[in-house]
Amino acid sequence: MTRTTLVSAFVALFVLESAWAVYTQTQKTPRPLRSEKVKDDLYMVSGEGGNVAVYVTDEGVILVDDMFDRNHADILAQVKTLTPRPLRYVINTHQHDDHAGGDFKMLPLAEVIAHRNARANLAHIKEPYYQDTPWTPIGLPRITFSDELAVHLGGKEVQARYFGRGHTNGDAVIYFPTLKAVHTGDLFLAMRAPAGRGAAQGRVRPPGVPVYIDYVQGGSFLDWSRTLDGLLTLDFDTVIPGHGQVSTRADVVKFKSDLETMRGRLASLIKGGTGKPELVKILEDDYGWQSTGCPPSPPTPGCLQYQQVDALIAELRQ
Amino acid sequence: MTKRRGLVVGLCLALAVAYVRGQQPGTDPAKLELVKLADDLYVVYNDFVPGNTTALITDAGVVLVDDKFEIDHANVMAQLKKVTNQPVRFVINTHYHSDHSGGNAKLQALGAQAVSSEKARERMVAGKQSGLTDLTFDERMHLRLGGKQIDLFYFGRAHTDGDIVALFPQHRVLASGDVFAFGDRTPELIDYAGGGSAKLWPATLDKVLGLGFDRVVPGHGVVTTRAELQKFRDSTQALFTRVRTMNGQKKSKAEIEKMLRTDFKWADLHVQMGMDGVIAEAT
Repeated sequence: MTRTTLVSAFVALFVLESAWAVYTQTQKTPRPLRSEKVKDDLYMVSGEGGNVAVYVTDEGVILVDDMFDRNHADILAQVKTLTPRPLRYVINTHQHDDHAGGDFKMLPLAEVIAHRNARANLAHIKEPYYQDTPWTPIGLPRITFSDELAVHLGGKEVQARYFGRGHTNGDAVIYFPTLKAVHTGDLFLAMRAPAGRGAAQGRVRPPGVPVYIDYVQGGSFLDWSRTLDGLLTLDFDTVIPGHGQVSTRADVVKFKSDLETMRGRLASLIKGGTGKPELVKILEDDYGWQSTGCPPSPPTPGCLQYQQVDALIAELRQ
Repeated sequence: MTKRRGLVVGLCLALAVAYVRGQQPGTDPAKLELVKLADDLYVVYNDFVPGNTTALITDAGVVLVDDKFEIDHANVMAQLKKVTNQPVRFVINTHYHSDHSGGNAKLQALGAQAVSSEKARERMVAGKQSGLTDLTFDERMHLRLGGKQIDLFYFGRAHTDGDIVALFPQHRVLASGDVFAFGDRTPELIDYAGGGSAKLWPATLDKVLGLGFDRVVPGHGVVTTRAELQKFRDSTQALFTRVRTMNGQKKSKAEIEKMLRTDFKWADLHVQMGMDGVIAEAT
């Protein structure tokens, strides 16, 4: 009995120590954020994690995404510099912790809304994202939708639209119809893929995008461009991307074209019998993926992409 | 006796016309009573008009489905007070008619958020109604509060073009709104001006019947069963088929009206709202 207790105590101590080690190693100091005006009453807050949209109305503020848990206080401070109005709604573009990591702290302050699959992923996996921020508390949105949901506040309307799978199976596009602006979440990224070894050797980089397809949470390379077609049915000229700077409709069109070119090339290689080692070399040379020398946590973009390689091969073989 | 009956019919019609046109009835508030379905699920019931209100009580607040006329607001709140001190956090409007959504503005002033289909909100805007909904959706929406869930569905046109049904999955109870009104005094009312359709009504109810529920809080009338909703669905199909048959036989409008009054218990209101529309649809 005493022995068992002692063993249990040891085990508990060990678990606690390991947990503390993980915690101290992964808790990061938040980076400072900044705000910029996108259009009338629409602002973008950026600096870490995914971009946050701030839409100001006479009756309160609607946010799109809330970054990491650690950015919460700074996001509220940024909003305060823009308007004295209270926060009323937070709409998630998807459940990853660099976009929805602040939900837990937002829930007492605002109504949090997500696509039903995004919430299901969050509820099912119980971790917003891989190993990056294991201590992010889970905040489950109270309101979910299937295809389209609109928030009406202060005479303004914001729509959350679902066009299908892509980055995950729960990506919402947030549309500001009167402003002709969208927040795309990670369905569109305003950034180049990391340079591969080929670029370092002076070769011309083929068209490509830094796609991360979260297969575990329902993402799909094949469906992604159809989903972007859905997005492009909306009437917009200004784009807040999941990551990167404020962009235009033309940038989304280019992104879709590059995504399709890259996917087409990879698919024909895979269907043509190219083996995994050879494919990985191409991904590393031409698209900046990284299969070796990856830090344990958090993964760098190239390493993160490499994690999806087997699922990607399986999907493109179809 | 006849005089009294005439008065009752007149009053009912005034109320019914008022509720369809989205006007204040200008009469006394309805006499309400609380019907318990479960420890945390109640119906604030009244006879005939306005519509039923269903209340789900959670530790994080109350969710209402429909909120009667504005004039009924204080009494609805008094009924809720008997069973909970929790605030109303959400009110779901099954459609735009003010005997189902008239309490919105007062509930919003108390901090509740109002929810409806997109079409229903558009009609509220067009009708210059107060208490416009805060959140709208097109097909499905799910609400979770205090560990409980409510599923909202739009399945297509029926009574209007913006009818939604609310499912309480843990209780297997459906709040149907007016896609299903139960009782002889509330037969199929097709609000063509509000986008209703006799032709599509049965298909909409087929989709409703695909949901998992045993009991139904109808838009009007007493709490009833899935079997009664199935019967009502069949009657909507029968009505449309009859009108189409009579159209085919070149029956006069008067003959069709007589049939609807006799066999489907239509009153003046139903004829005014739905007759020309159903004849046009059933060709």
